[in-house]
Amino acid sequence: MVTKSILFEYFTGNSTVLQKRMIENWLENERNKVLYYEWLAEWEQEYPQYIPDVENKLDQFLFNIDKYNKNKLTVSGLQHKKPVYHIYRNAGYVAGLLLIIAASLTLLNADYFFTKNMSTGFGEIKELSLPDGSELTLYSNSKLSWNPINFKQKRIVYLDGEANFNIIHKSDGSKFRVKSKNEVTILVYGTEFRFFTRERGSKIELNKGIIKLHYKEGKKNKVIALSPGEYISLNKENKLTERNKFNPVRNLEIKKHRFVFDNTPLSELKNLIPENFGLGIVIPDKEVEKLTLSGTYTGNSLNELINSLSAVTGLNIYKHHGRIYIVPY
Amino acid sequence: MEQEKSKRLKLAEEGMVNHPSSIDFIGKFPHHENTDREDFEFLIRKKFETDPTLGCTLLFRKYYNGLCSHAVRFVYSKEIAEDIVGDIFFDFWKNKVYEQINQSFSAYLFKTVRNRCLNYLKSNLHSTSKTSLNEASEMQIQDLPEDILYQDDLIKKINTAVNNLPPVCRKVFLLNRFEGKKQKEIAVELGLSLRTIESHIYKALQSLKQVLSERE
Repeated sequence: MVTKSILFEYFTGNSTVLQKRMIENWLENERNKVLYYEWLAEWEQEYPQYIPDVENKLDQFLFNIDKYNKNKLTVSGLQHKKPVYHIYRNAGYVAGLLLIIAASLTLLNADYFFTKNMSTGFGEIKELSLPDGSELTLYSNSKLSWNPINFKQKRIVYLDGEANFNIIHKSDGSKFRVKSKNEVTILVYGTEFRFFTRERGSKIELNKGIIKLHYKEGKKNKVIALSPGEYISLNKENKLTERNKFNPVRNLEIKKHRFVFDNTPLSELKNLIPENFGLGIVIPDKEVEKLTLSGTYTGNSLNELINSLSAVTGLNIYKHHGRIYIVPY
Repeated sequence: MEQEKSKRLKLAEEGMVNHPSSIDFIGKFPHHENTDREDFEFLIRKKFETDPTLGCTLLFRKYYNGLCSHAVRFVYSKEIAEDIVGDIFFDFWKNKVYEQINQSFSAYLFKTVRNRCLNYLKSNLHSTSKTSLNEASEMQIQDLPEDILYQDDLIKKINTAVNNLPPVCRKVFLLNRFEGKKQKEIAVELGLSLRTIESHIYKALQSLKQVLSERE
């Protein structure tokens, strides 16, 4: 009979020829084979070769699962699920027209000659490089500005909207600042994060590195340090409403529209659609507004989003006179 | 209290109770000596019935480290070891392998990690490459006692081969392969030329290939 200590000694490499023969005989029994692997598991736990970062890898694993399931947005609170597909042809023209409007507004801006401005129209995504080599993705209906003369001394940019930053770390340790109208400033040392700041509130997701968040709540100055994989949300009054973990986002996903729904009521679309696509949204039925969505949508256009939504909810979603209507069939 | 215990036990024996809190107690009953591991596996089995992702998460937390540590003994690279183990878990979830396991999750996972590592070595380091095993048939992998002992022997031989490398060569090899550092970085770190680094790594890989082609 092979004992656990004999096997542990064998794993360590201290067995005699006779012990090895004994183990080989013992392994003829299928039950013992299972025991062999189970003890191997215990031995590796007690005498590891190195310690991997489990939680980080687990996040990745769960992220892969999520990605695999991604095309299956789920809806709860609805009895009948009926996949429906619509094809809309006009979104491209609308986005283009709005882009022209946004661009001409930028040109009329009085600060134009002193400040460098970058903006995106509804449904548009832009990738930009800053003079220091930092990169960012500017999402739909957003504006970024900075002063090119001062930028060398002080890296400060102003954001209104939503962007993903990939900031270069400077060897002299100088910081990068992102400021917003809501009196929220992010202090950065070289890092990757996503910043949402519009009138209704702010959200910051930190992918890598360290950032410090300075903001004013009422008259108080507050500071929060974020660690990688964390996100926080502030409401209109800069009150902290949410602080939690999220799954890291891969590079490919950054460059697309991404909406995360986590038991999110459909009424939230009343914020998301106008902000990102500039279209109004009408949900006449209060019961429909209360339906909740879970899942992540990543894609390129409003039409794709509408198609996915109507496929999972089984609701009739259509555009009419520049507005989106969501109604039951 | 005593009464409550015996009631729960009775229910447990009849298979009526599957609430986790009752499991601890069964474990302490003298003529039913469950180990912690068996309790854990039983609990996981219950989880898989309702929430496979949660089941996988628990298994991942429990065995990921051990599996990587074991894999690294074969492949000597953290990155490759973690990729191999990550793939095992993903396939485990995707192909619903957990539904077919009736004996032990840890035994399945460790058996599989050894096979995948061997396949990896065969297709990447072996000079006379043999046919690789079909992944779909992992449940039915034949692991004869002599195969298992051969694998353990191989771990020892790989370890000895690395250990017997000249000190600088071993250092370069570990930095490059185990730590995953780039050859350029190592050259700067050790103050050696890139060519020297390359030749050290080449030499180390040659002695590993040597070990792998030694099977009688």
